[in-house]
Amino acid sequence: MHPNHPLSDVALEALLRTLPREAPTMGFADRVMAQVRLPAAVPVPRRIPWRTLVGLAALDLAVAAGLLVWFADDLLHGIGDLLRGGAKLAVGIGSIDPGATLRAFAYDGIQGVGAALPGNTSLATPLLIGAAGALLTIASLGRLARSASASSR
Amino acid sequence: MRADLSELSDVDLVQLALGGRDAGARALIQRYERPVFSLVLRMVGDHEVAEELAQDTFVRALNRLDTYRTELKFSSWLFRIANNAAIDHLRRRAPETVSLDGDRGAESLEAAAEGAIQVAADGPSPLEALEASELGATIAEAIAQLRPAYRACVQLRFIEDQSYEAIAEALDLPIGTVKTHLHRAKLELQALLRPLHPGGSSPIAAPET
Repeated sequence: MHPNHPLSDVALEALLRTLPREAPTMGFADRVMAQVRLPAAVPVPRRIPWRTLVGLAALDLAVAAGLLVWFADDLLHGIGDLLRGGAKLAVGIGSIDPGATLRAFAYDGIQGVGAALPGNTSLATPLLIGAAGALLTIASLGRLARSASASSR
Repeated sequence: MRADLSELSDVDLVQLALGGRDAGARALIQRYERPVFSLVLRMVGDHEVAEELAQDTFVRALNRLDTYRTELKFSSWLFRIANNAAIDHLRRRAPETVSLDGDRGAESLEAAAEGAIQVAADGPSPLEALEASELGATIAEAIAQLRPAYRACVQLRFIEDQSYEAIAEALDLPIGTVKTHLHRAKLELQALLRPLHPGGSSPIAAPET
């Protein structure tokens, strides 16, 4: 046998696999990150998307409109009572003898106003739903505007 | 948080980084700083230069992360950038230095041999060499005498434990060429390390199987 016969494949590979991985110096990652420009962070969608808001607003307004039509008769009566009550109050306040006349007129007036107040659910329900719909519409239009402005950047 | 990130796949970390999350990019650096630095160091043989090239590799990769396609392993993509950076450096450096072992940047054995400078065999004996340096350093020195393509193949195959396919992807070579490179690299290393293996008495012996 030759005194300097070559290493076998297996021995050589075993030797090569013993070589360690070298490590860069401390702070390597920081130095790299200082030169890296990652894309701007994408915000996590925590708020309701504007499409959902628009859908909710449309649904809400449709319900409000439906209720208004449904209770149109009561609503007109309510408004009428309100006006009538107000007129009676004004007349009573303006009368020469405010005594019993005023009390009678005030009673009628308060009754008329009371009919138009939220205690009368037939009128209050569509009004409240309509108000909520209006708020949703304003919110969704705001979100829509912000979204359009963000996408144009 | 960091412990969770270490369990994510490369592709998930890439997605995080693309979403602007620094933590994703940092996790990728932590995962690959040693393999990339080792590869580049093996190629250029200088710690300072290797660190600079490894840094450039990561900066380049992370700044154009959107061009990474998942058909390729992320490690292969990164190794390719690192290997190209090292090769570019060797090409730029080539006219400035002459290796006693020939042109390290030569594209073939013959070309490397042409550039070699013959010196008298009056260096340290194999035994002295063993005494003077650790075994690992001797092997590393032997690898350093290989041509760059062989060095990269050896590093990726035996130190990074990459498959032939992954090496082929990383070095942009056909698999057959990778196998040929590895075969020739082993022949050269066997020749270079022969003085360390006198008969059967050397500490370098095949592991028991």
